[in-house]
Formats: sequence, C-alpha cells, structure tokens
Amino acid sequence: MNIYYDADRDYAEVFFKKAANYGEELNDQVTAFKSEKTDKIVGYAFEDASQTVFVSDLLSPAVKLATLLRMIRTKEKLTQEQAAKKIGDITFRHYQRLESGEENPTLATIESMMRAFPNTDFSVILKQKSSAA
Amino acid sequence: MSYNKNEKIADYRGRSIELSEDSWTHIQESHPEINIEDIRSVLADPLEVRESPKVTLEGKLIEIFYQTKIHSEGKTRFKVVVVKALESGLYVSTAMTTNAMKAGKTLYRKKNKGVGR
Repeated sequence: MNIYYDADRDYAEVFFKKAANYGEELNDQVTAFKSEKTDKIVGYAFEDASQTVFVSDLLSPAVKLATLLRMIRTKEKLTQEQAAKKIGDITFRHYQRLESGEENPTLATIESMMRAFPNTDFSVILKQKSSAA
Repeated sequence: MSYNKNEKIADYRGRSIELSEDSWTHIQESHPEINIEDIRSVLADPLEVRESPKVTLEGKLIEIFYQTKIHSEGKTRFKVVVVKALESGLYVSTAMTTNAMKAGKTLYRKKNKGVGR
C-alpha cells in the first residue's frame, strides 16, 4: 500500500496496488482511481482528508490508521525511523508495516502511539459515516 | 530527459513551479502512467487551467492544469498536474490521469482546443 499526504492542502491519496490508472470523481471530496487495464479500483484520493478519510466506508480501520500515521508523520516532518523512535516500543520495520496497513497494532502499541502523539485522536480510525455528523 | 532533484519547471505564464522529490516519488509510485515529460508539457502547454474550489491551509490558490491524453480505445482522458501556491512559491502537489475535468473557475483555456498529445 502506498499513502501520500499533502499537509498544505489536507489532501491524501491511498493506493492498494500499483497500476496505470485514471481518476473518476465519486463526489467533490473523493476520487476513485481505476486500473486502465481492468477498471478495478486501485486507490482513492481525499480532499479535506483529516475529516473525509475517517468517515469514509471505503477504507478499513487498519488503512485508516496507516493514513493517520502518515498524516502525523508528514505534519511533524518525521522520517519513519524517527516516528518509530518517538512511539518508543516498536521497531522501524514494525512501524513500516503499520504505516503500510500490513499489520494491525496491539492495544499496547496504540497506547504508545497515543502517548507519543497526545494531540491526535486515534479513535477516528473506528469512525463510520453514520456517526460522522 | 530525467527528473532533476527539486526541479523547477516554467509554466505557460513563465512562472517557476517546483517539483519536489517527495511529490515526484509519489507520482512515480502511484501514477506510473505519468512521466516527467508529461508534467513539463502539461505545465508549459495546458489545454485548460482551472481553479480548485479548495484552497491551501494558508488560504492560497490551488490550480489544476489539464492536457488531453490520447487513449488507445478512444476513451476520454486528461493528464492533470495540481499546483499549490505557498508563501515560498508554487509547487506541484500531485499529477495524475482523470476521465473528466473537475468543476472550477477557468483561469486559462488554450485556443484551438482539441489538439491532443
């Protein structure tokens, strides 16, 4: 998985697969990227990403956490290694797996993340559209 | 010609627009159908430039540059480069292919529209 976050625009792109693709607007905040070959969705773009990513039904909680970590890291201008060190009890490789959505964190790891980034609301990864209002 | 680190590209108005290493890495990884020549060409010779309804967190303009792309099956496609204005200058945020232009105020439209690349 590949996540890009532009903090100046609060804009995120989340890709599940690398493929030549084209964007198709789903609404004024979300664009789906479809493979040119298969027409299957390979990723999404989110405007106002700090809000829209987390109320979206398009992403799993693990992918939302990965996107949240990427957002925090970009805003704080940290490398993955620095972010892992700041969280404390995880390795660089473990952090990479979390930020790529390859792994679900344990409760202990979430607790460490909350301590490392006290101004971030980690509960947003469990938000759903119906509870967004 | 390959990408030069933090390359500055002149747009159709002669403005210097920076393509940072981060943005270029992202474009290569997620939009493999777009190459460096596409970005240079879209900025220098756009079919149309539209203002995004969104602004940056500093409240500055986001411009979306479009150029027609020829698709082998005749489908409508546009090469797109998104440029953000910051206090320090103009920067490429991302680049991609889309099937339509986004709604937004037109800032520039090329004469003799319809000439694809």
